[in-house]
Amino acid sequence: MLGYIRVEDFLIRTKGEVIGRLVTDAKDRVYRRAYQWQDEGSTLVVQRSDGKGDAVRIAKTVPLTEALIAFFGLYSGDGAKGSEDTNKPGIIVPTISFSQKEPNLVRFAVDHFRKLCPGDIRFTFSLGEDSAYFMAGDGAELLQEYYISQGLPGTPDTQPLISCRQELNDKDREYMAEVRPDVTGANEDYLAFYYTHKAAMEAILTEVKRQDLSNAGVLLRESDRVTASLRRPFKKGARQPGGTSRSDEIHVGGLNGFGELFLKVLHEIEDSIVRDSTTSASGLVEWIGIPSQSGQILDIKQFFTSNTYGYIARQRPNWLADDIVYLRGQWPRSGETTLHKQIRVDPLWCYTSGLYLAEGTTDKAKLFRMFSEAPGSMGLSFTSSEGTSIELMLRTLHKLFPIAECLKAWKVKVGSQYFPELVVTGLKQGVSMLRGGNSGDGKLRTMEISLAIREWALAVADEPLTQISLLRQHYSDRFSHVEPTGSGVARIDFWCSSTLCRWYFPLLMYTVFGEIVADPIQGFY
Amino acid sequence: MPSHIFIPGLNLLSVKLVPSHLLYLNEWHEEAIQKADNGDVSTSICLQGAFIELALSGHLTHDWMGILDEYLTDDESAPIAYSEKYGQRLYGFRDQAKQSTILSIHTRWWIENIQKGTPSVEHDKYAALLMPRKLMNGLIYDHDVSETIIRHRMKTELTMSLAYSLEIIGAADRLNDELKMQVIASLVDSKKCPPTGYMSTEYFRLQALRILDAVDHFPIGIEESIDACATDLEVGYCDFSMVDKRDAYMGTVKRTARDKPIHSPLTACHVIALTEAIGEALARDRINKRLDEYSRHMEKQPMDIPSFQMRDVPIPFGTDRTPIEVLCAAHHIRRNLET
Repeated sequence: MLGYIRVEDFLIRTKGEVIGRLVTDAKDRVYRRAYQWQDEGSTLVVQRSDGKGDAVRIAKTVPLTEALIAFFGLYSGDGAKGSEDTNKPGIIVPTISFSQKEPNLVRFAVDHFRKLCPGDIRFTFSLGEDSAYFMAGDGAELLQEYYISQGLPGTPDTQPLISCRQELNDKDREYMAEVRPDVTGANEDYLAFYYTHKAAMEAILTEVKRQDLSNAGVLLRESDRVTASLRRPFKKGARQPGGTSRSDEIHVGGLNGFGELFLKVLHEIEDSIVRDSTTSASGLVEWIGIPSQSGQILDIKQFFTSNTYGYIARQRPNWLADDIVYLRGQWPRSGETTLHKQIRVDPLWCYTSGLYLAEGTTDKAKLFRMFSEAPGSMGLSFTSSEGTSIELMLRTLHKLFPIAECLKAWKVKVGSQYFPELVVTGLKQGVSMLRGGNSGDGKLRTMEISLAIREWALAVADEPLTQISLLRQHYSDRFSHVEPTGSGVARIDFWCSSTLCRWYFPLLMYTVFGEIVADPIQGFY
Repeated sequence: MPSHIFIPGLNLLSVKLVPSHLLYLNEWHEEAIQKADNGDVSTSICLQGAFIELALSGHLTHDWMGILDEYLTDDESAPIAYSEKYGQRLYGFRDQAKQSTILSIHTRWWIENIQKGTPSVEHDKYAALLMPRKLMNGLIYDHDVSETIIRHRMKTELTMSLAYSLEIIGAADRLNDELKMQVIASLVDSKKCPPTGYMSTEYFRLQALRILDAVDHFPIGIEESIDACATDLEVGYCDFSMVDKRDAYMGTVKRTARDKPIHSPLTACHVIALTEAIGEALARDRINKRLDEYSRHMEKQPMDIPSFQMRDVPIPFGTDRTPIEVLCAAHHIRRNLET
């Protein structure tokens, strides 16, 4: 246990008012909420002071275990932060929901929501998919099997739109007017497919999700629901029939009105870790000591020699050297790696373990299977539009690896929405923008633009800190390029040597799941 | 007059520079030549260095041809965009940095014209470097450097490369009727070069058509695009309209509520050139009036040359001031004085 969330003390001190600032996806917004609360022994029942929303039960003082800190890291990456009030621009109304597909992580998140708020909370598990998925390939087969199971000979023909959708709504009309240069065929036909098979497709998706949850050991309570969220064909992500654009959401019910306080906890945890401060700015979070000096010490050699999490494909690493400062080790069929001899499982390590599980680009399924079977090629890379996240991940890697070996190179990914800005950046220097790769998503070939955006990235990395960032301090010369990509705000993406993965990932998994899964070879779905 | 196709209307020998412009340009130039002498240079730096010298001194004071020969020419004597040392500014980019682009060819050709005088330049030598880049589709662009399919290429790149190439090919007297017909057909083909609403794209389209003596084929309705590029701006024009941003794949409108357009002196120069293609007198007057207001604004705030930012994050996303932008700002100030 590394600290506490002092809920009662905080509410008394602020007279129930929660206020904070949120910067995500390059949007700077504020949130504010006044609360009332009732004392019920060791717990409080917290509700909006206007009486609206749910009455939420939470401990007066919540112990911050390694796993709970990791949960907040996970939520920081995958959790919803809220939506903007259309009548009040810049004001965010937080909602608590969570985007995650990996079943073990879903179970982990659900368990921690229930631990944190032990009252009447309920979950709606939603599987979203583009209906184009059902037009060909695996999706079409699933559709056919479904209809056969319903007593039909196969998938029935798509009805004319006028038959299956007699009156179009605003979203239908908007869809009909959209032009998709990459998609052949008529929107009317696609919309007809959507409405002809909507019920069948939703039933299939619901069953897929229900099965995933069951396999992961998520126990559904009576109040929990499993639903499908079906999108019109090619609306998002899927670019050809059979293409997938799956998105999994967990909506947490029973926490209506609690989002501001939840976000405040998250921000105070992160901020106190960034500043390495024993107490967060408003006192909501209090660590047992200076964060970087709190937490158990892990002996790296011992961990990979005897811990149940110290395996990859049921094998352990070989040790090549063990001097005063560093170890040198090597996994079978991998390269030599230099490591620090010890790490401290401090709040930073725990928080970024969850954050990496959410935001890291490694295939999550491999992280859960790697203990028992060869994971194949794995990569360690991380993407974020926020300087804080980049800094915290680099600090974490510095705890385990020598500085020079932590980061191989970094780039800036820029979504197509901002290509015109890139073009103008080039024009200001008299050059046009030349893209790389057949579809233009390779390395930008125009150096002037890449170099200009590099300055933006370094400033973003520095911006939330009182000192210069690790990115600028150690890796400013490892900026590789700008990469034009499909969508999204500009974000920093760094990657490490693949040999580091095999050391970092077992430690990360131990931090998050060590308390609840004793044997990772057997314990994960 | 020493002028460049990139900055229409700007006479580099008669730019009115205010003290803040002079300070900026001198500092930029000093740093550029120091690095260039050390082999850390690109053709865009050479070009801007040459612009500055013409504006400040009336002639080239630095041996840019020597720099181009020494650092920006490949083993086959073709101009390249980046020196080996400049290529090291990006990590792991050294191999890709060695690229002979249309811009690098044009820059070398233009500087040689300035330094030696047009009659002394072997235009045919440069045209010979460009002709192999002409594709069956009637366009001329850097497909060897960037293999990106035409639909995903930046439209400004397409028309700019074409205008630059045609200028040289024309100087070499190699613009025959067949080539003209093929290029004009592509420039008016809405699949290859659709009307974009980007000021730079349309400006270079107009320039290309002018070189081809086919301005009459310029798409109608440019005034609507120009007006759209003024949306949400107190003064001047942005190169594009924020509200018209669309997803390249899905065709859907992008969320741009938090994105802020910026005015650019360079874009205003492109708009001035585009006003010639406006058929409607009222629209032309309206746009000229806004351009006049912009000139007055630049006179009051000569260094007001902003950069973009990523939504709410108050950090410059890309470049703000550059020698090109400052010289364009000076051009607008001169326009104001003349009117």
